[in-house]
Amino acid sequence: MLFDEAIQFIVLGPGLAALVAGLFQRFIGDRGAMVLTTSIVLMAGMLSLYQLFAYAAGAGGAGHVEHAALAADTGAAAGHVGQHVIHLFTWMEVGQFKADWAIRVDAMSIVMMAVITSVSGLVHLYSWGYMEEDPHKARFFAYLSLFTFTMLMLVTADNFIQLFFGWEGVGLASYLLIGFWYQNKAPNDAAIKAFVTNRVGDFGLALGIMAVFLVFGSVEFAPVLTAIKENAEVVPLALAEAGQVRDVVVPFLAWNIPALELIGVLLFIGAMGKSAQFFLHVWLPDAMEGPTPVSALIHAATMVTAGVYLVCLVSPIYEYAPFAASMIALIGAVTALYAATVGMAQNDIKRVIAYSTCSQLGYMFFAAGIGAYEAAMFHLFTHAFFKALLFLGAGSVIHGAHHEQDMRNMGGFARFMPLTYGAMMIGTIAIIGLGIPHVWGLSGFFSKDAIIETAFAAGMNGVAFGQLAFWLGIAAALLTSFYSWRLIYMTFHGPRAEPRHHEAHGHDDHAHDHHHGDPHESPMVMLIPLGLLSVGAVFAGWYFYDAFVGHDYKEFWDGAIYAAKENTVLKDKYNVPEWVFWAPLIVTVTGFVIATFTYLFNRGVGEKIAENGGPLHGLFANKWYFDELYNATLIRGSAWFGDLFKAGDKRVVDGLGPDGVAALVRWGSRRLSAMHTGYLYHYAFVIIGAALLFGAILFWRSGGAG
Amino acid sequence: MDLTINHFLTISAILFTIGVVGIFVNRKNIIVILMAIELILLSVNINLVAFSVFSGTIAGQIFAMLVLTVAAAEAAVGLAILVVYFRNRGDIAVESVDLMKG
Repeated sequence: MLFDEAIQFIVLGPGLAALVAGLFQRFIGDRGAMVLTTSIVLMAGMLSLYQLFAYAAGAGGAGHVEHAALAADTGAAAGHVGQHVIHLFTWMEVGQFKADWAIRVDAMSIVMMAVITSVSGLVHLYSWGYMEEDPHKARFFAYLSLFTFTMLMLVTADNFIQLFFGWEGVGLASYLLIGFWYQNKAPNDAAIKAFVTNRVGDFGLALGIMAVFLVFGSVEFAPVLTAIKENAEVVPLALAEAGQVRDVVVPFLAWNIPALELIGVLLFIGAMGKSAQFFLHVWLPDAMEGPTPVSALIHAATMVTAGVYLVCLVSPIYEYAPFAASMIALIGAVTALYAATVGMAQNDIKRVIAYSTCSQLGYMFFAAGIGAYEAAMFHLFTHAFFKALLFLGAGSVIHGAHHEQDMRNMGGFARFMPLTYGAMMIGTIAIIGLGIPHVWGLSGFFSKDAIIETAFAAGMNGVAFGQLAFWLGIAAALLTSFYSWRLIYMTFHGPRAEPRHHEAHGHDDHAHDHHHGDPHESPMVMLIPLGLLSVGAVFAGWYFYDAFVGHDYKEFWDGAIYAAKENTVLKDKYNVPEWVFWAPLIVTVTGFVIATFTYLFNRGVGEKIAENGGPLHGLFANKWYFDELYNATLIRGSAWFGDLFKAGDKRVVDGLGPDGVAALVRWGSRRLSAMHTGYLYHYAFVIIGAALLFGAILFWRSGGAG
Repeated sequence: MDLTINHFLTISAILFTIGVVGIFVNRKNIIVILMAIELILLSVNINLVAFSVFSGTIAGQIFAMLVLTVAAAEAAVGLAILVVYFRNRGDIAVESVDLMKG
């Protein structure tokens, strides 16, 4: 276990670095900002990796000493045994409402800290090479560190409000980074799209947090989650009757809904937005407009993992909210397959990988939905390494190919950039989950197969959508293998594609001598992160399997993830039929064979299929027409709605309000000013007339002449 | 026929009305307005003197002398303004005196 100071450094260091690099970049310069942010985040990465290894060793092995020490210093209020909270200071305290700034250290946050800081550190380092020619390096590195910091705040929160702070901070940082090249339209549009789509989800999350406060009278994790685990008596603040928490019913719109279901669904809507699940996934591929290191950061370490993390963190809620959990399973499974189908038909190298992220997130979600939160976290963990590897590898390709992103213009790159090729191969083998059951495989094999097996076990146990999730997961595994190999073949194999001299170069205003020459290998500073991530992509699954989802999972998670008594999917995954273990391998190899035949041996077949693919290819290539659908309904609809109100505002509100009054006054004063002829005798006449009138009135009132 | 106070008041009222109407219906020039004001003042004087005689006190007649003095001063100032106005505008027609028009 690390000292409190070290943990504070991990979490707050990147924030401080972002602040200094962002605000004082004039004084410290680009170089200073790069050195500062990179060194701090790398140091934090090493510390948190050490923390993870130490913790896993403590939890798994015989040496339970450190673990016991961790358990010992937790107060009675702590939600579960293995939790240690470093209280920084109180943020707000209004009546019952209390939110602190704190750093919660438990298995969940230890895993997340390790993933975030280590991947982010490598991305920082990689950016030294990738952003070499960018004129705004200090700004870029400040944003990267800010992104890291807000994500760390999110995962170490001990209450929903700090989590929400991190949640929004991540949204802000992603907006800034996706739109980093703000001089162009596309990145700006993509940034706005990401931000707005996330607003939809964040609205759900905010409502969910409000519902939590309504029901529990607290927004701190520990009391809320403990109450659910113990089915304690809760007294909602309003609207609902007091009772056992699992039986409390809350009115929402026109219905009475069990409180936990309501909270679960609302929080999941938040998670859908951040983690780009079906319906709210549209921002993720567009986010590819940002610089490639940013894509790696968004897809591997920060942002998209937040949703999975949230769902796993509040696992007690979903254990007692079957409807919400089945919704997660369904949406996750559909996303896994949907994104995989779209990924097959994309030609932009980064978009393929983006849809693959979307698909893998689907795996994580359906794992969480069927109750295997540990498996979801495990896949999140391993996925971070190979997805960062794939993205940074793709970045290396793009960098080497002079900012060419279209795979149709690539080919035969393997001999120009052998190291990148090797890294991409490792990433690909890891993501398709190649491995021999019961023996060994790369990290994707361990985590993805764990998910697929638990899905089958869940299906056998009768968990809603378990069977469906299993089959969709198998299908998605086939497609994953296919599109991953397609990417490799189109990029690295085959004949060298003629470099196209296209003028629309967009953001890269660099002046290479060999601008349109052969692709070249990237500098060392970009290859070292690839190497380190390759190690993670190969060994992370094997090393941590037992701790995360294997025999030691109870000790490792130590109450950070909760499973109801009836939920035994994680153990039952050992008892599935033998063919279930082999099914993923079979479909993976099938996908590989198909890709090899269509894209390696018979190059061009893929393009022909694409041309003659008919409606199916069109459907996939156009992302199932989601953008068009949203454009026609939501965007047009809200534009129409906005126009309606614009007209209403102009005609009714302004018309009767400010404009109307002004017009009335103008009309009246024009009439009145017509009376002012300027002739003295007119004024005099009025004066005398009025005087006479007054006199007459006074005279008459005092009784008149008589 | 005895002269009663009503005769004097009637004369005064007639003069006053002529003065007022003279101001309003006059379209020619500003001098006529000044003359009309003089007429109003005179009608007031007649009133004052008549009341003074019939009530047997001298105050009204003294006040009438005061009004005459003020009227003379007013006529002097008014005519002076008129002269200056004529020099500036070259015209003293009432129709053209509408600088106060909004």
